[in-house]
Amino acid sequence: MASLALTLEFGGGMELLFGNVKTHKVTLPAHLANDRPTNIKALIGWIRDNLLQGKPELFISDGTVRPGILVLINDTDWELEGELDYELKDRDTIVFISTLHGG
Amino acid sequence: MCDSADQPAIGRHSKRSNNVCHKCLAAKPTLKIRHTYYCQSCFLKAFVTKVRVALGKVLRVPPPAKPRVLVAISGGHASRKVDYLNTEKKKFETLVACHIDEGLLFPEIQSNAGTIKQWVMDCGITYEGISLEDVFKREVMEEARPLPWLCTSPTSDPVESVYKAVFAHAPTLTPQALLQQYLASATKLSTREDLLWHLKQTLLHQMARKHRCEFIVVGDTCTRLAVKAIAMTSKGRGYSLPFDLGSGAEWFQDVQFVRPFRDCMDREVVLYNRFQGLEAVHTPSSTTGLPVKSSIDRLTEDFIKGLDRDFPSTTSTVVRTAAKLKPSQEAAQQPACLLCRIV
Amino acid sequence: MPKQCELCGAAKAALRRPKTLQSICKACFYTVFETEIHHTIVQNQLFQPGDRVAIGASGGKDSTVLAYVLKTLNDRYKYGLNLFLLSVDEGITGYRDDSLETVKRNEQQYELPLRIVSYQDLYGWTMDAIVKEVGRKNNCTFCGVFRRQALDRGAMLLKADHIVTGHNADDIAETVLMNILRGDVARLQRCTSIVTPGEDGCIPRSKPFKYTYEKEIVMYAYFKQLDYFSTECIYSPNAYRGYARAFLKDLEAIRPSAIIDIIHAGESFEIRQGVKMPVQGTCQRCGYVSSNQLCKACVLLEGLNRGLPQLGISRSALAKARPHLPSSAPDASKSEMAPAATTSDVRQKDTVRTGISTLDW
Repeated sequence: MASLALTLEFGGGMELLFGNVKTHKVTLPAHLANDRPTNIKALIGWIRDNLLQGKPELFISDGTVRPGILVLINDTDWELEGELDYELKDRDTIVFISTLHGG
Repeated sequence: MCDSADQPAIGRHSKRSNNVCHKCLAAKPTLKIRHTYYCQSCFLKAFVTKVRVALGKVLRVPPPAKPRVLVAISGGHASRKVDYLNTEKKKFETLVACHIDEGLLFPEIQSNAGTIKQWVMDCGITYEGISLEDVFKREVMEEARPLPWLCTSPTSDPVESVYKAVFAHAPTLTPQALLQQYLASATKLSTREDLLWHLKQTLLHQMARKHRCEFIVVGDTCTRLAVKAIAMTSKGRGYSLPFDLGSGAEWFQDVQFVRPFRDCMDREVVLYNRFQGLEAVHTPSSTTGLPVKSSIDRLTEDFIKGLDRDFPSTTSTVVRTAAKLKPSQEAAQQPACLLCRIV
Repeated sequence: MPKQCELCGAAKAALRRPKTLQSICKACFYTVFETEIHHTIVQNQLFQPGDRVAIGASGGKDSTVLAYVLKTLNDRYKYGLNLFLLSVDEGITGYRDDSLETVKRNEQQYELPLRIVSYQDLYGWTMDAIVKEVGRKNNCTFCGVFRRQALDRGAMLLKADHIVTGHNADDIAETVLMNILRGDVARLQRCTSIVTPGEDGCIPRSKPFKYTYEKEIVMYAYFKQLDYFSTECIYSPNAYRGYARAFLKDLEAIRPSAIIDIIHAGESFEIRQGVKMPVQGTCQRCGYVSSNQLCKACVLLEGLNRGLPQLGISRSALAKARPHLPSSAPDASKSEMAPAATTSDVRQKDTVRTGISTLDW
């Protein structure tokens, strides 16, 4: 089964939720159980289940990232890439940076 | 409450094509800031121009004098832009970067002071490092003379009177112990955050006086100012909002706060750093890792960021609204509080 | 072990007072609740003896408690007021018809005369009909603008000297926040005043619950077993205001004084000189206070009657319709630039309940 090699980066304090490690190289299946291509929404769920060490509510709210967390897909604002629906490709780099001061 | 009309139009979309950068009209856009699409290089240029214009408007003194500037550096996203000031160093008489180390509050976390000092030194800017507890050090008070806002009467020595007041009941305590005692007196996180904020403002101000600076540059972004405006309103601070947001009113006559990022969103600053390969350091706050409802500041930040995601013009509207306020007559006439200098 | 009342020290505490977090008994709660409202009325000199006072009654908790408390205080402190209930029938089936039944019972229970004015009579349109015409997106704008005037017109029919509404501290704090969030400086400055003076033939309006917490109103109604109607309007509540409301509730949980603190902050806001503010005048058609040649209600009504319901709501519709409006072009354009400002000073007080708002954000 095809798989995706992804680079995940966490910054702006978010690394604290991930064992203080900023860069994670991960491999995900290219397709989900329902045969659909793996998208950002699935990635966020995967991160929560497999990588996250801090409290989930500091990363996720209402099925997406918390407001105030910036997401870049290959250095492009995820808003321009379809946000949660973006279908991941092999060797994509996904960056999560917190802009929150108090969090 | 039934007024759907309150609801701002969601995504008033631009009629321009979204497949091309709105600035150069050539490259593929990689970013969207409010309603404009940018490619990376146009974004970087636009950002630098915006900050330069904002600084240039304010950092002015009558020639031939040059402005004397203290830059407050927390290590966060906005601080990294200090390198820009350095490229313009010729324009300043004095350029000092000041970092306040809050290490005492977070003993479990390694202090960032060293990293920040290195950045500043690498830029060739004078570094002034100070710790939060230094606010209780006599030499810091001495250096910061004069302190007209602490004068109870024109004849008494202000430093002496404050020093006496602070140490009268605890002559043997170290500044560290004093700070801890002081903060422990606040039982609620919201109050503690306010105390911390005042201490930092005071220290910055004292450092500006020490270096005879007439400007303090701080990294408040539009997002940050909007959060502050709502948080302060929520705490009943309507009187001092124009002072605290620096919209045309200043606490002191000798020092002016400058906010070059006041028209920039948090995300713009973060994106800039990312694209320039600038790494910010993360400084924890009192509410780091705690639930949203742990303090008023924290809750407000969550509220504003949430609104801003769904209604992208919220932050700038709040900041614009706050800029239309002036200090109330009543506030202007009252003497400032001796300790926190708040009216 | 149950606590003693922190105020009288005699009875057992029955509740924790939301405003102060004191544990107090029911009797002391009634006393402080009523006395605070009495002080608000006296200190602000809201009424003159002999005034005919119309109580804006929706059948909801706020106005029901207001009617009950005003009646109680009027008897207890001999204000010498003639109190009336005044209800507006927007014509919303399944909502207003039911709540009006509550008001009719209140009329009997509190022995206060009731007058109902309807949108149908005043404007020739019910809300149900308006929704059919304009859809669910902007209907609240119509309702809000019309209700404001309807109360005034009803009060005039009753020859009232004063109108009181049930806006409570939470409503006002929320309005302060909303006005900052949507950048409405004109209203930001006015929304905290407890009374709008009666000028240009308008009837003064006040909010005796300005410092009264919503939670306490609900508690009071519950303990006194007051008969009120508690269903939300069937036509969409608003998402944006929902955010502000949720935020306010969270703030209150962190620091109960936050509600009063926000009102206090709102009271001390002063607008810088040189900021453009709407100039008050009167509507050329109906004579109601307006900062434009036509008041918002007349513009909306014009749109409805001419089959252009977007009139007064969107810029383009207004631009298309402008030649037909009696107002001259420059003024009409002013209303486009600052739709929020088209509402009058008096009407402003109803911001919480009404949909007069910045349409082009």
